[in-house]
Amino acid sequence: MPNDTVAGRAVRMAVDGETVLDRVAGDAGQAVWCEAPRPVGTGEQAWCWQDETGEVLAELVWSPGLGLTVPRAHFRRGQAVHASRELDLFHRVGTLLAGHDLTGAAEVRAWRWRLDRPGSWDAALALLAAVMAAHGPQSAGRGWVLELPGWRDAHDHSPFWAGFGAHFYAEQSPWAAHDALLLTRPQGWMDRLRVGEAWSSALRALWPQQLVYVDFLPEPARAALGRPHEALAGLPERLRALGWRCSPYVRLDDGGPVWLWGEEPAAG
Amino acid sequence: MTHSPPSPCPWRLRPVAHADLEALLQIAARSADAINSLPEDRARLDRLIGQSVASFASEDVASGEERYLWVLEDLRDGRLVGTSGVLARAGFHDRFYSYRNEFVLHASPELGRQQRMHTLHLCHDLTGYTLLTSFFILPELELTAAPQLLSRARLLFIQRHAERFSDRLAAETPGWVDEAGNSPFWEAVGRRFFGMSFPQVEALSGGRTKSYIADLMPQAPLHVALLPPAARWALGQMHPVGELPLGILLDEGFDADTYVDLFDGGPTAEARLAQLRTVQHSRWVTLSAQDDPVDSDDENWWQLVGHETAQGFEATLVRGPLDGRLPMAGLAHLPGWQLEAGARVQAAPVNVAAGHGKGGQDAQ
Repeated sequence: MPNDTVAGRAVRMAVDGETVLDRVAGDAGQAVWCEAPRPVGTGEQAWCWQDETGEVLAELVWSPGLGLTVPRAHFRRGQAVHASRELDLFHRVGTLLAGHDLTGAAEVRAWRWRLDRPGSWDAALALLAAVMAAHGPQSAGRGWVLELPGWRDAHDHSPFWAGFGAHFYAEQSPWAAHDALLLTRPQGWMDRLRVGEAWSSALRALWPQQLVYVDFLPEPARAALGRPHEALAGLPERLRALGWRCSPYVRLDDGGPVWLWGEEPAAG
Repeated sequence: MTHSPPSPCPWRLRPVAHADLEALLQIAARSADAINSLPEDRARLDRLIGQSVASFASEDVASGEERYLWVLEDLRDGRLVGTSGVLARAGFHDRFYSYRNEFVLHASPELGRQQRMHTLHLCHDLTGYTLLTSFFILPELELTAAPQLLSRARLLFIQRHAERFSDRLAAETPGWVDEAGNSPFWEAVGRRFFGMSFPQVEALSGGRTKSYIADLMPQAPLHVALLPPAARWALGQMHPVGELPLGILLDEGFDADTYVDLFDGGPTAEARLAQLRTVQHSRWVTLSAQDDPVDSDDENWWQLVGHETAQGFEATLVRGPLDGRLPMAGLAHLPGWQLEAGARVQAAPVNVAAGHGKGGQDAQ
């Protein structure tokens, strides 16, 4: 499937439990992960973007129903107002409430591109546009979801995890807190790899079940809410151009933003 | 074993009177950091005295808004050296707010992890409880028997007039403040939502009840893990002035682990009347004309004696044997008691060293 602006074409891949980038991504830094890698499942579609030489520059997996087999939770960002005319008080407080509002939506997961090839990012966006077109505009009625990794500081630590998640993750060894903060090192990463698709529901069980007031989080954690990883800084603008919008939902672990295309899944 | 004749207790707990206004103002000024229920305001204090006088005098069925205030009088010079009070029903005109400590164990089988989660839940559990209030004693008398008389005597009164009160009691204790007088708990919670100190909030609310302010506090549970360390430490910690009264209540059988104050995180003790030490051991004793020698090896044990006079319920301490008789000599000096040998009074044994962990000294 050719694209007018980016050289190459989108190709739907035959799925045999392992995608192309799974095979080439053994080299460190070859891809930006959007989730812990797992095999393509039943009903899912694996797509890639091949350049003119046939080399794969980008890949994504489209999933028909988020959370329908393994529950997937997100935080919904809201706000509460405390007001009193007598006290000249008007105070808005950000809130977080975990839920499964996005259950049933389609999902663009495992969206990744090569960092060592110029133009791979454009290829990844072209691939996304091509998959959206392949499913047709009517598919927007069911809503599509795209999670992005959240902001990390210069030490590759997630401020949202450090300021929120670490309090509830139940560190059971002196080094586990540090590793869990990183989420890309052993222990935290191994937990995430080990539980795979069940990562968010596993965290959901440990996280507060009631409303969380964002005001109680340290400033770096508040600032990280809904902020994508620095490597994706230019992505939001490109997603908007494709018709996506940033939703009020964020990831449970690093506070990364959740983007939506089309309608939100119906409640209830 | 040595014996000595009992010496009369120099203190009398009696209902407050209008003539006590000036002395009470001085006490309110001295206790400003500790007692919220004694306003440092002449008009409000006078109304409080009037309310107490009316409450003691009322023979009608109690409505629940009665407020009783006692003063501890030094019989040697007439000086007022302390106060204590009872509010018949907390939150009579509105809800009585508290935070309730709750602990839940969260577990993730996939991750093989468990986490004990501490949350504070806004609640009205203590609405309708009988509140012990207004405890104050001059610092120089803290190590004497006076605090015991001041705090425990009102339990005899509650027992005596149980129909006026709840069978559940509570007592607030001021929370911890730092050297600058700031409450770490308020700074972490209340100030986030009000943007000002608690005294400023009280001033702007124009004397409205605290429940008006509480309505503006965050209604969802607070996750203690997300509070700053200073606030977490201050949770359930008391201001030093609360150590003595809370110690006495804990010795009585109060529990202070479940509830904390909404604004400063100070502990709120609560108990059932029937389980309290003074109540369980109180009995009616016969006054004896004979002065029995007192075993001074047991100098910490006294009898807390309560008696209804024309002004209302009064109390004092008497050194005497822990049996069914009480020497009259220990009560003869009390104005208005008008007792005769053979009369029966309400009494309960009290260890004057209990509650503050310090060796009790002679009542004088």
